[in-house]
Amino acid sequence: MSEVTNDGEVIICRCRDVTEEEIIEAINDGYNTIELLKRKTKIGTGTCGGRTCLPMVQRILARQTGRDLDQIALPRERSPIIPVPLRFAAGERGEGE
Amino acid sequence: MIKRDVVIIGAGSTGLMTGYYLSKLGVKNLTILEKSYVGSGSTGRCGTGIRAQFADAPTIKMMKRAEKSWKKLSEKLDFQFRQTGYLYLLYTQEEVKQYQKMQKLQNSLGVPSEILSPSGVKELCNLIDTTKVIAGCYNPEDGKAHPFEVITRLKKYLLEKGVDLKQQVEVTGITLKENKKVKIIETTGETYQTEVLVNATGGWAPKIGKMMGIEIPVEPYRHQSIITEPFKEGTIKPMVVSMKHQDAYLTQTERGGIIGGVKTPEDEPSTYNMTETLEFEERVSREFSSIIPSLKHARILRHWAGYYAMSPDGNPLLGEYKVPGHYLGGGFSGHGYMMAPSAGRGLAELIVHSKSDLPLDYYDPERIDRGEFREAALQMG
Repeated sequence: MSEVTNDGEVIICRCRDVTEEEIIEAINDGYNTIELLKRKTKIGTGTCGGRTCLPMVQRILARQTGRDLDQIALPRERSPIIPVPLRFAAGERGEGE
Repeated sequence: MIKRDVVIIGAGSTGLMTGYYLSKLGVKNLTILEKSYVGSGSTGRCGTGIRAQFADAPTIKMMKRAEKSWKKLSEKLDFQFRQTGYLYLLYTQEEVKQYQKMQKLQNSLGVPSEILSPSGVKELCNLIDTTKVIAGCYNPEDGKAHPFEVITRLKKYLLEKGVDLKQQVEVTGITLKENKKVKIIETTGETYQTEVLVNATGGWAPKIGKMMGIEIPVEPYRHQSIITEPFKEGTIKPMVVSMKHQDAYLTQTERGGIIGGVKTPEDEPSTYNMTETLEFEERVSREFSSIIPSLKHARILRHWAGYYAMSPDGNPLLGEYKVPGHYLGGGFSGHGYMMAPSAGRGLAELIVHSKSDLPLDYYDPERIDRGEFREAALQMG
């Protein structure tokens, strides 16, 4: 089996282009909750709403701080659940509707 | 029990700026208590705007001074204060008259606001639909700063200066002793004793008041904001404001998203509820798309709520209040973040020198108990 290696450029947040290294650096700087990491590094603030990166960030945070996964709270789900164009939120219908 | 010269409750923009100026005036034995993390209450939820375009002289003076401080602080602490202006869109002759009057007062106090033609408006932001706009009012010195950046830099500075800044420590009770001069502050951590207590807890100020047995005339009102997906830098430079679109304000943040909001329904009661509503999302989307039609294609990424900590007359409450040595910095009614450098400087000067050259008499909290209400400061969102 071949070993998987990386050059320290593991992208965790694809929307905001944040690497594992940047996340670890922020954790070491004291941003040790997901809420703080979100504000510091922008993880979870992209178009996927954190659905891709947050579970990974949760694991990195658990590993780096020696906590259990269930001790690491995820941010509150906010509206909208998926990105919504303003015209739809305003009640405008799409074409063909 | 830990003895302190000053204890500040609340590490948002008001608390940290007060800490900053106290530290500059030589106060060393200082603790700042924060029940969550810095900026977690109202600062991190705000619309990021900073303006001196107000309708009354004291607020204009406070904000003129604040903008000078914002600029200096941004250089000293290394964050961006982007002076991209506030642009008010005017749709009626009545509005133009009102803003011309305000502009004259602002100019007389050194604020370089100007009335623009619709083409001048277009030059500042060509996405705005100017077909019904008859003029604009613009102050190039107004601007915006990223709250988390600001608060993080302030925190770093204060920690380096040896200020005892405690996060995740909540005040649970206050006992007053020796004719209320001495305050014993119980927390989820240590117990503190101080003669000077600064209440910088925004919408939560009445709760701290209650612990001292006093009523503080501040009520939290929910205000909501949205942010869109990021766009190319420079898409919407100024803070664009339209009173004709339910007091809408919107601009682009340094991270690229379009941020902003519209007013809260007038019949919505004071609340500690911070849940976002679909009603707001629909309304803000309609108003924003009407001001800037191309925004209707932008996608909303997040939607959240925070508080306007309202005072009875819509103006800040700044100064010693009801208990000797209890300094209130609250009731900013939506302007706490932008005004923080002046509020913080003013409070620090009052505490250390018992006087300030800022117009603090206007903001004396006891005016409310005397029944002297000021005219509400110009507010939107």
